[in-house]
Amino acid sequence: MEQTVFIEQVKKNLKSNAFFLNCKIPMGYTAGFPILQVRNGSLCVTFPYLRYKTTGVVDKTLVYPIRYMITMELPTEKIVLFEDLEYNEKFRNIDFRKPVGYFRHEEIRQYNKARYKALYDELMQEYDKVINSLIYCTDYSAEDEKRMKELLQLLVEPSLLPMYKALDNDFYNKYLAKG
Amino acid sequence: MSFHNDIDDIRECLESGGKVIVSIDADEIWFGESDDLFTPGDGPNHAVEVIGIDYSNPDEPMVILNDSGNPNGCGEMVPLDAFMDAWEDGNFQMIACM
Repeated sequence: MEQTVFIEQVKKNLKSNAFFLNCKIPMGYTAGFPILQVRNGSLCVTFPYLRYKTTGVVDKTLVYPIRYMITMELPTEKIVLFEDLEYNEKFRNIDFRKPVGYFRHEEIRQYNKARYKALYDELMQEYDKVINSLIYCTDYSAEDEKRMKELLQLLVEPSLLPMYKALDNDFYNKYLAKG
Repeated sequence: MSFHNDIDDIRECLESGGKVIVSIDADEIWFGESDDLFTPGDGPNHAVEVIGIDYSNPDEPMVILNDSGNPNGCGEMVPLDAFMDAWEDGNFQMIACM
């Protein structure tokens, strides 16, 4: 069956979704790399929202903790969960007003904007492949899974890894844990 | 407030004497020409007032902004292409006041 879910389009649709707008995520927060999970037998995608603050100095853009998460069922794009993590006991020790790291981190410092964008786009295509294989049984290979892991491990900010692990240990172990 | 507008919606509002505020990814306006200064974010992070569109050079139309995030942002001139890229990150959101 033809591939029909494009994660970038799902993310774009969310920006003007009425429910999403009513969540009142402050301007400046942006979606991080999505987490895939199966909930109640359905494939769901969780977009973590965090903010970056550009200081004007190369490689000193501030990375703040993931503050909000919003979960949608696929392919319907129905929102099934929204959470402000500041009210989650699991994250009580996080100071959401304090940056946790800098962008670009060391492993990607050699990549300029165009190269980073190319890697980002490739990763989004890998998301599309796994999503569509799970929903529509389209082709998905071990090579695809390997490449998705490589790209996620390269691009996800190391300073955010503990939060990804806390948000979804299965996704973390499958794609983000090294070794 | 509405989404999925285009530049003609802004132009028509301004020509009718209205005021326009849009949400943009300001980093694309402020640092857009740098190959090394960028963020992974692609969401809107700033609101600016659009006060005009200058088509006097058809090859390089400019959008004129009041941008509180730039010390020289009063009447800031931004190439239309750069403005559209920054505006797209907010799904072309626009607040029009007549």
